[in-house]
Amino acid sequence: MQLLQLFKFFLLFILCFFASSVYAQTTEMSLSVQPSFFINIGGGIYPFSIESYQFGPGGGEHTFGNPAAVNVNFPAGVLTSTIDFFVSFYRKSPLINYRPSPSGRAELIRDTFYDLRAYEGLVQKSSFGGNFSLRFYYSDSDIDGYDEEEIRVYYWSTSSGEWVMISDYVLDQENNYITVSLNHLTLFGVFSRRTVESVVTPTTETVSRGNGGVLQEIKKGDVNNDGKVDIFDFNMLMVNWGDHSHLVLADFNKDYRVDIFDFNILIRHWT
Amino acid sequence: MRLIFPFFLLAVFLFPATVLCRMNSTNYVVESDSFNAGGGTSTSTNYVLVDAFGEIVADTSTSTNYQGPPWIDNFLFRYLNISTPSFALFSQKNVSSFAQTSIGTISNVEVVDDGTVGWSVTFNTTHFTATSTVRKLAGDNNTVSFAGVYDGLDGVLNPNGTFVVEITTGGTVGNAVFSWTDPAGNTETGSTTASSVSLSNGISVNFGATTYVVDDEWSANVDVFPYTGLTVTPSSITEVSGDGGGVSAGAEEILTGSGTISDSKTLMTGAANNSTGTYQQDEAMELNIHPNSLEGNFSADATITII
Repeated sequence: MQLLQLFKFFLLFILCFFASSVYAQTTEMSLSVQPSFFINIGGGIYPFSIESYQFGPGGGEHTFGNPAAVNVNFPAGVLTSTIDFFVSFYRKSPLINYRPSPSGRAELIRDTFYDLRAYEGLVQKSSFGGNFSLRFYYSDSDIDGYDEEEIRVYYWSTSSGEWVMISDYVLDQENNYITVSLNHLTLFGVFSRRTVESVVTPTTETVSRGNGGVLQEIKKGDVNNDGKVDIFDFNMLMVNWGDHSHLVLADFNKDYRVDIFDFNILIRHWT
Repeated sequence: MRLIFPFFLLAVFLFPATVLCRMNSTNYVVESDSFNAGGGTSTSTNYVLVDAFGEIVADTSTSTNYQGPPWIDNFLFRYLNISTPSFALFSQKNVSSFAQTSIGTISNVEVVDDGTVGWSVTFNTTHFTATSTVRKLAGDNNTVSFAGVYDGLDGVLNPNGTFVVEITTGGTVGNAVFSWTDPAGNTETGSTTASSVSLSNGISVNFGATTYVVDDEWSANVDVFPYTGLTVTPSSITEVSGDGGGVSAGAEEILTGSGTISDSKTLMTGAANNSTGTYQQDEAMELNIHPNSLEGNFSADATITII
């Protein structure tokens, strides 16, 4: 009997040897850090806002911005998996100013571009199997001086390097929004035309220039601020001709380009 | 007898292995019930053994003089299992000039125990690190790459850490010589090229077959989100079954440590005698993302242990 007990405990010992009482599991933890959406230029942060929302495979809708700016609506069947959706809001700035406005509708409603991106996991998804809708909102004050009937949504075509109007749209002037239907994402802008009354150009403007920032009344076209519009101002206009950068000298009409329209203003005020 | 003895030895050494093969998984060990061979009733003046060893020592030791050895209860009469997900994804971030926080959760950490000794679940992790793809700084050869997992021990650097490899003596692989600089700025010279050469901090450089030229140069950036910026908050415990009066969750804590792996942090504890059963818990985590970090995928390995 004693031998049997010893045998049993011997077997127990062998079991104990093999059966360690410490058990562990490993979990891989991971996060993705994407390139910065924000760029600091001259103390300004671009874009000025980013919002995100997660759409499930069943689709759905979500409104970005406060007050409401963009509503994104994925009908059922368009999404096949969960996506993370980002909307970046850009003011007209040096960052995007190189994109010339579309001809005929040079004015940008709300002075804002919308960079829409979607990610499926870590992979950016720029097109979808079906159409979804984007609804851009505006307020009465946003369109003050604009022709509301001419509001259109454009997307930036990276292949052609120009704004392309989305022809499939519904403009609801009563509720102040325009809805477009499309199947891809990129940079969007809402453009219109200035009303005739709003494009009267004043002959003078108040700007902060020199004298430690003291406000001065200067004459349109007077680039060098010597009180006259003359050949020296013309020279400076020529030097800056074609420049698309922000706050460039001789951009009299503030369309972020020095071109024939600025030349016209200079000639009109020639002294 | 001479024939029987070898078979006896074989049986002794094979039997436990057979039992373990049948009763183990990657996650747990079953150490009871079927181990009844050679049982029956055994008596002495001091104790009684009936059938299975486990039942006897754990439950039915009947003697004023004899108590089952504690170590046996530790090893043999428990079904102790820890299970965790294999992957936990933290919230995506974008490189920013500001500090940020990324959040993640290790869900459904589950403990199953039918023992009576008690247990403790602990958590530790490596640093979250990333290594960029190779960048050619000089020369025409695109045949160099960096491999391995950066250990992050150089900490957060500004600008981000960089490994730089520069050819100092031209030639083919095995003949060409290079110098290299680690993220801390230490430079080592006179290293001979090879298909793979270990540098430091877990990173190695691979030279593809070609002829290298003096001043050929490549780099790779590395970055780390240290575990000392990781806050772990164990959730309250869900008792799936059992007598969990003695099961408690660990406290919210920022991980500590100075090495490759953090100090262990307690997630939950099961007291002796009233922690048998099945218990689940989620581990919520917040990770500090330092400004102007490297872009890319940062990863770390968390190890959850039950003892």
